[in-house]
Amino acid sequence: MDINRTTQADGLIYHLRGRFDAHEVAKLKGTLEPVSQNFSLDMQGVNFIDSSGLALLVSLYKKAREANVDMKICNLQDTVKVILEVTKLDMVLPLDNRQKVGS
Amino acid sequence: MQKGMPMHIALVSTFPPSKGTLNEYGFHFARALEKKPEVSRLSIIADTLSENVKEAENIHRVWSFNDAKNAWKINKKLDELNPDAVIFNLQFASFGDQRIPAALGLLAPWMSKRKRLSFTLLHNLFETVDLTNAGYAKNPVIKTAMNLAGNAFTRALLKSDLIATTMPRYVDILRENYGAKNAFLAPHGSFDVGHIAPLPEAPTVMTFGKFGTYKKVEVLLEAHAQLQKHLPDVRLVIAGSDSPNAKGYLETAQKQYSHLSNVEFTGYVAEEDVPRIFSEATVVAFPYESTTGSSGVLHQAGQFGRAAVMPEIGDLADLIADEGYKALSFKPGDVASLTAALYELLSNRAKAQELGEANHRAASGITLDDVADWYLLHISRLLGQTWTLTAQPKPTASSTI
Repeated sequence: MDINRTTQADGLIYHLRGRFDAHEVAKLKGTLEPVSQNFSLDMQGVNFIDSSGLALLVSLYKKAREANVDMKICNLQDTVKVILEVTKLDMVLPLDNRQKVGS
Repeated sequence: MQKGMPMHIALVSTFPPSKGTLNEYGFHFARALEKKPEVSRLSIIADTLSENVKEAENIHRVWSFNDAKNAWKINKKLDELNPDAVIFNLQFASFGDQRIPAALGLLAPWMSKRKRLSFTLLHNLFETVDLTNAGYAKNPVIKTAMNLAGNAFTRALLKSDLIATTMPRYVDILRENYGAKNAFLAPHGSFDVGHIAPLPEAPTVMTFGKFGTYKKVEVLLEAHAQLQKHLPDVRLVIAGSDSPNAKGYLETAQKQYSHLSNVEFTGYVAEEDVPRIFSEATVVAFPYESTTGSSGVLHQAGQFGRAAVMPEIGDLADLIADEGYKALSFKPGDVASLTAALYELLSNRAKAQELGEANHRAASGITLDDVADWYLLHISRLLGQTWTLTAQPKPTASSTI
């Protein structure tokens, strides 16, 4: 998985590209943690997510709340939306359905 | 939306030292919930034991396998404890191997819902179980009757506020066949994932579970005989006990194959011996003819970093596709095919190690600790709370473990 980071006035944006699965989670965790400022995950380039990827999203959300910072997940592909819907995590994770500027 | 308060959660489950199916899952799930700051109190409503054992105060031994009054007994205890939410850790035969108590017990979540948030984790569905192979229905009339009853009791379970299943396919079935809007996927999750122990010196095949219905050891014993021609020091460990529906099965198999050397039947494996059993294996074999839900054993193989050899059937194939596990496959019931797959790993330690590490990554990716967070997120949402973040001191007397 490729991760590019850009900085905007309202926080960091991580642009993710590739598979978001068990074999990539350690690399992602290393890049995205520790959570210390507002950030968005631009998932436009992610076409697959498995339960390990979902667990990382939940973990990041929990850490963001603990650190009192905002987290947004945006630009979801339909294949990823389906997984979030089947797990009902779309009802609890901070999804931003607007197209993120700069993505 | 109100600020979240720490919750009192009740967990209805089989629980060690009971040997009932899902007891280990219940134990590890309880341990994960108990660690969460969102949970101020955890009450475990467990199955009774044959003898008195001194246990933590929050374990309530309330219901018994094959007791037709279980749903009533569980709800009476829930009324007494008055939790904010109750989680039922169930499979369709949790409450009995006799049809009436097994079915009546499944009414417990529906009865509970009238007074509190009721949440069911259902590890298998009637629709996905081969009732004949699993030993529940031996003739077509009984099978049809069981399917009808299964349909009715699945509808009763769906009266829970939320119903979680561990396989995506099960969510599809509940939504398509029953129109369930409250069904969702919550992965099985692996237990405590630690470091990978080195592979044993002697090539060792291990199989783990409750045997005699859809898990049969004959094909594995036959494969062991073939393997010994090429790997004289190969060991076979059959770890576990009879399925409740196949009493005496392993004893018969052990007698039938008593001429084979290097075969060990361990009997029931206590929780504290599980790490050793997996660590002493080179490869974990799944001699299954069908499946009844997500495989706890595959998650354990991943937890301990061991390679797997399994038939490409039903839920096992789904786990490989959906959760990143890796395995060599064989044709179900085919000795030559199983022998070839086992030999490929036993004769190539690097490959066994590679597959074991891949499974370890898959298991590390989502643990029961992570899964517990999912449940608490959903419960908090339904209780109208934001996520509670501050750890609260818990009374030590309520500690389970």
